[in-house]
Amino acid sequence: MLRRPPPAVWITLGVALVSAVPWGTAEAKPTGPSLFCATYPTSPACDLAAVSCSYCHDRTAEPVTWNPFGAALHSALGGGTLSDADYASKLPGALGAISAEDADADGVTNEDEIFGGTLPGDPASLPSTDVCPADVSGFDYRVCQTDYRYLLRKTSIDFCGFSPRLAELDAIGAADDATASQMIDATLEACMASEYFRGPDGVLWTLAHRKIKPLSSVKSGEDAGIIPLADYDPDYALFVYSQIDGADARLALTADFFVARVPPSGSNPVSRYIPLDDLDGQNVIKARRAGLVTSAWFLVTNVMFTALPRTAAAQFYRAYLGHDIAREEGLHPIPNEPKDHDAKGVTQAACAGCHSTLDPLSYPFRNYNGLGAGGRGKYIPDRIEKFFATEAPNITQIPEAGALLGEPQATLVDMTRAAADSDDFAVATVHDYWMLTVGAEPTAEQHDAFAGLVASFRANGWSVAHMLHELVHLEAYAAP
Amino acid sequence: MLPRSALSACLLACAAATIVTGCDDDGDTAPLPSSSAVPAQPASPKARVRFKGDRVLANDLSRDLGLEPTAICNELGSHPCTSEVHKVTLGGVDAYDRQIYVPLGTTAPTTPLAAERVVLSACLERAKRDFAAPDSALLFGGLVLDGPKLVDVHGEAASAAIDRVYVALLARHATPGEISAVAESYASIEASGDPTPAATWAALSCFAVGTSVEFLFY
Repeated sequence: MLRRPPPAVWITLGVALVSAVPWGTAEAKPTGPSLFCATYPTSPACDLAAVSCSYCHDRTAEPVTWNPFGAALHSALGGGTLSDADYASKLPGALGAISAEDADADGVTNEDEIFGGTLPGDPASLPSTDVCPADVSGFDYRVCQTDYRYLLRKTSIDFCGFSPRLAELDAIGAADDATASQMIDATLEACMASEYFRGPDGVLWTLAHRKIKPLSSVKSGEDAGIIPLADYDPDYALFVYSQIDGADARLALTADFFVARVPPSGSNPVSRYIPLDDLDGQNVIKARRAGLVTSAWFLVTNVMFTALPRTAAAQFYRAYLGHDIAREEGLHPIPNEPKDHDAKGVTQAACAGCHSTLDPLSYPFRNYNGLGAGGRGKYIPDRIEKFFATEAPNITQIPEAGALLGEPQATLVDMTRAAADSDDFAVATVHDYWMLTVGAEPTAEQHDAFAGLVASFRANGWSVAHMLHELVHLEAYAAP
Repeated sequence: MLPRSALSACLLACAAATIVTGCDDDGDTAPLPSSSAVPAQPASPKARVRFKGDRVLANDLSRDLGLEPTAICNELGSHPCTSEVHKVTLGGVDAYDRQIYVPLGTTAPTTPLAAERVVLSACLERAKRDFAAPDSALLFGGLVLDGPKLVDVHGEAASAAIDRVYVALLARHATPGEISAVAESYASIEASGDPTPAATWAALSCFAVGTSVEFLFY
């Protein structure tokens, strides 16, 4: 879902509801988000990414609880437990029945919130009531409008890492808007070429941390830890390479090559990134490579010793498509799943809601080894049969074909290609930079600007650099 | 090195900062001195203000005050405050060792303390260098002194020094009201018995501006 309210909002809401919260024993319905979006396809909550379960639920594990909108909907559905078929057939009617109500009593009807992009179950989520001055002449800053001194300061700090000087602010303040706009683009371009932006621990490295999840104690290579297992430097290098100089950001998931960083030297004051066909310590054969998802570091730390690498699949889904299955985001249940090939008990009702998405997402990783017999970070055909055959009676039936976003995928390479081409990847990538620069989730009023940025990102070669040039000129970033 | 009384005079500087930034203890807008020439500026309904964070704070202090990064709050001479000791508190991450991959969602209760420590360290160092070599001073050169005391804090030289602090840290000139407010803080420093009131005033003038909302946020 595009708009996630800050945790404080949910905490406040939870406290407010604690005595009145509706509890139930009914199981959560992971098909709910897709059915909701089938009913309201033009809702801002649906047109860029899937709605999360929190749109209706405070809690989806037993005992299930709903926010005010979810509670109203649950009541309209009859208040009991429905079969999946009944739920699917009755949900559109129930949504329609409560559309004119105001479930969270915030003065805005459910339907207006659904189409306006605010949350119908959260009284703190409301349309903007900002009142901007009609005339900004004579003020220090052009409040609510693009102000180029303000924008220069933000651009310089966010992308270069330092504030502009008085002379620079005076120069842009004296320029006409067209010239000032060009000065902003020139500043951004210079900053994106700086070590602060692309070097170690720079802007891009910091953005990559939660995708790569480094751990110094098990690092190999330069600055090796006490138990060197794999090196994450090549992961940072590939990520940065995919984000700079107009590169296609999808390379993060599709590259069948590696990247090495060349540190700054006398003649080159900024790190350079060089693509390589092979790299010491990287063991997956070229035909089975899928960017950062098949790096030695990713496989060693996420697959480790597991037969069915659910952790690897969940991290791939969370880091690159923005869906945290642990938060019941991005659920696309596959019929007749999970099969529980490895006898972990995931067919239980409390587990199946998520595992009907997670397990098919994990199958394409079945031949990628992490640690243990067979070698680190390698693709090993028949890996399950060779090393895990005795772990469970049906474990060798784990297929290599799986599913992503409800669509079948034959291999991990196919799956990451589909992921990289998806709206979800585009939204997640733009969202990363939006949060980095704007510093808050897109509001309902900013939804169209965000959507436009995503569309432009896709239409312009999935270039982060191009996208950032547009982002800094948006009202959300440029207007104080 | 400035005398330790400089640190104890922090409260005076905080008072000066309150005057300069125009905020009272509750964060509400307080009236500026009558000599202020700050034009009326409407509050933005957007409220898009962000804390600079560990790296920008260090970079700005280093550039603005002409100090090497290692000269700014380096604990025991080997543990930099911004990139190590207070890194996470100041909005940074510690990905490799402590698996803190993203900055804190909000500033921590100790963030103001850490920010003030870093700024105070940088300002003390700048004042120390300027008073040690007035001819090449970056901010506090040209002051008229009588031993350790300022001769005329409301004079042209002191006003110019205050303005240089504003230009260096805030990239704008000080208003007459701001110059007056900073100058007036000197009397209380001298009255406190500080043995080097001029140098202390210089450091704390820098500290007052460097801990303002305008410097720490963007």
